[in-house]
Amino acid sequence: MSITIPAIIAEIVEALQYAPAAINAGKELVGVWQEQTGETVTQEQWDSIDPFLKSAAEYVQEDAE
Amino acid sequence: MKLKRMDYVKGIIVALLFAFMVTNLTGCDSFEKTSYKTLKTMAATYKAAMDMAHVHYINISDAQEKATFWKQVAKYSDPVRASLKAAKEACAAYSRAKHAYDAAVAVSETGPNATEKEAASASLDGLLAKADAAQAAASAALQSVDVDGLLDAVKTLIGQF
Repeated sequence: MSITIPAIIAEIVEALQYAPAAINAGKELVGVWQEQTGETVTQEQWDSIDPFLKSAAEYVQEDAE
Repeated sequence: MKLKRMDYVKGIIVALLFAFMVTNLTGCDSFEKTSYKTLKTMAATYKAAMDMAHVHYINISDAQEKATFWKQVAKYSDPVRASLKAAKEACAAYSRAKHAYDAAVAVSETGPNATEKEAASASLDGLLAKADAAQAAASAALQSVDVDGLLDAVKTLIGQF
C-alpha cells in the first residue's frame, strides 16, 4: 500500500487539529516545572491547581454558552 | 491513524511528566514542595488529556456520536478529577499541619516568655503526630491518582470515534 501526497496532506491537516492542545499542554507542564516555590507552600499556591481541574460537564457547559 | 498520533502526543506528555518526577526525586526538596509540584504536574496532564478530547469532541459532526463520546470521556475523567481534588485537599492539610508544627517549634525556641515556650514545647509531640499522619494521607492520595490511565482512555476513545 502506497501513501499518496493528498493522503499525507490530509494527515498533516488532521494532526494540526491537536497541535494547539498539545503545544499548550507542553507549555503548561514546563510552566509548572519552572514555577518557583519557597520552602513552604501557601494555600494560594494549592488553590492555583483548581483551574486545571475543569470537569467534563464544565467543558460542555462552556461550549453551550 | 488517529490512534497513532495520540500515541505520540501521549508519549510526549508522559515523557515530560516522568522527566519532572525524576528531577524532583533526585533533588533535596521537602515532601511539601515535591507533592505540590507532582500534584500540579498531574493536574496539568489531566487538563491536557481533557483539552485533546475536547478538540476531538468539537470535530464530531453527528450529535448522537458526540454525546456518546463525551459521556465515555466523563466516565473516565470524573474519577481521576475526584482523586486529584482529594489529593489536593490532603496535601494542603499536610501543609497546614506542618506549618502549625514549625510555628510551635519557633515559639518553643524563641517565644516571648517561659510560659509560652513551655506550652509550645508541650504541644510539639501532638503536632508532629498530626503532621506525620497528614503526610501519610497525602502520600496515599497522590498515589491513587491515575492520569496515565486517563491519557490511555482518551487515546483509545479518540481512536474509536
